[in-house]
This record gives sequence, C-alpha cells and structure tokens, in this order.
Amino acid sequence: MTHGDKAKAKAGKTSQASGSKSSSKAGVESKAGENGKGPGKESGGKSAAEGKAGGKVSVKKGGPAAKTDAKAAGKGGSAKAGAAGQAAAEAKGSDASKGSKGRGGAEEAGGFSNPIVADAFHNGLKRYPNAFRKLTD
Amino acid sequence: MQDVVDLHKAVSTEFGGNQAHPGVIESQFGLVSAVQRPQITTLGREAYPNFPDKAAALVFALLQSRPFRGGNRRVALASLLAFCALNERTIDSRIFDEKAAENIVKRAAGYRELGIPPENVFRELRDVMNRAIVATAN
Repeated sequence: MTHGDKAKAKAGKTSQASGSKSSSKAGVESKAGENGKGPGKESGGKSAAEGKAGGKVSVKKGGPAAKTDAKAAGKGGSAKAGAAGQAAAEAKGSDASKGSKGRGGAEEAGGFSNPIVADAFHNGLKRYPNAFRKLTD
Repeated sequence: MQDVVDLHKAVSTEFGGNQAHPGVIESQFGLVSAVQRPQITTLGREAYPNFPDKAAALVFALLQSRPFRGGNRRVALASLLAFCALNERTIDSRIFDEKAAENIVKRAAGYRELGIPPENVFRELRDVMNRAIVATAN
C-alpha cells in the first residue's frame, strides 16, 4: 500500500463519515420538521453526494490536500448540519416566542390527547378570538 | 370527557391569567352529566335525534352545570367546535359569527339572572345550531 492509497482510504473514510453524519443529522431535522420524510431524504442524498465528491478530488491532489478536502467535505457536511441546526434553533425560537405569547404554552401545558380536538381548538381561537376573550366567567 | 378537560386546561392557560385553574373540576357529576347529555334517551327514543340538537344540548348542559371552577363559557364554545370537528361537521361562520357566538353563549349561561326560561334559551341555541352546522364536504 502506497502513501497515496492510504490517503485515498482515509479521505474516503472521512468523507463517507462526514456524508453519513450529515445525512443522518439532516434526516433527523427533516423528521422534526413539518414536511416529513421527503425533504429529509433529499438533503441526506445531497450531503452524501458531496462527501463522495470531496473524496475523489483529494485522491487527485494527494496527501495534505486530502486532509483539507476531507475537512472541506466535513465542513460542507457540518455546514449543512449547521443549517439544519439553525433551522431547528429557529423552530425552537418560534416555539419560545409562541410560548411567550401563550398559545404554544397552552399546547404544552394543555397537552391534548386527541389531535382533532387540538386542531379544532386552535382553529376556534383563530375564528373566534374576540368571543373567547370576552367570555369571562 | 378527557377532551373537555383538555380543552379547559388549554382555555385556562390561554385566557385565564394568574387566577386560572387549569383542569380543576368543581363538579364531576356535572361534567359527566353534560358530556352524556347528547346521548340521553327518553322513553326509548333519543331526546336529541339530530346533530345540531345534540350540539346545542352539549353546550347548554356545560353552561348549566358549570363543572369547572372558571372558564365554563369558553369551554362550552370550544367544546362545540371540537364536537363538530370530531363528527366531521363545520360551523358556518357567516351565521355563527363572533358576535352571535358571544351573545348566545352569554344568554345561555346567564338565563337565570336574565330571567329567561331555559327552554326558550335552548330553543334559540338549537335554532342557531340548525342553521349554522353543516356537514363537511369531503
């Protein structure tokens, strides 16, 4: 095994790892999101493809470059993961802001056992906000 | 019944302020009675055969028995919306708009203080429900 082969193997491993990591993270984020499975699969596929591309380029350039490329690929993956993290943070932020308003807090504290009832309640709040506000008991 | 308690928790958390009692049931019997009101039979026949009658009966029973410590009127309105959603009905908001909802719930809740006979209030509620509730088109 020559030096270049080792570098190739390392680069391949690192790029694959970064790709798989980013894909799995992205998948989790998309599951947490509203759209469900579709976007998660897409983002995972993309990040994996990027990881592979990084590995190929590093083979051409050699040892030191392999590391940088692998890092770059990792960065790409981490950038995606970072973007997903940002999205999650934004989602958390929006939840927190809702909580401060009271609606999210109601959902968390109330904890509806039936989603149809929860939907009906939230639609009712949208449709009859003043009626709910004025009906003091 | 659990759904009504959940609705009370949500309504209390949303609108109750500091003095809210989310999920605190003052009258268990009143709550059970109100939730079962739409299903009652008299002399072997359903007392409320149509869906709008059942909805009106549920709302009126919740307002009559006042099973929670606070927020009974809001719970009654929320229960009406949930009852319709669970049975795949929608309320026409042109007929049952905000003002109408507020007025009818206030009248039904305070019929004793207003000196209105309960059967008249129930008839009003039933008429509004008959006009407002329509089956969801799927």
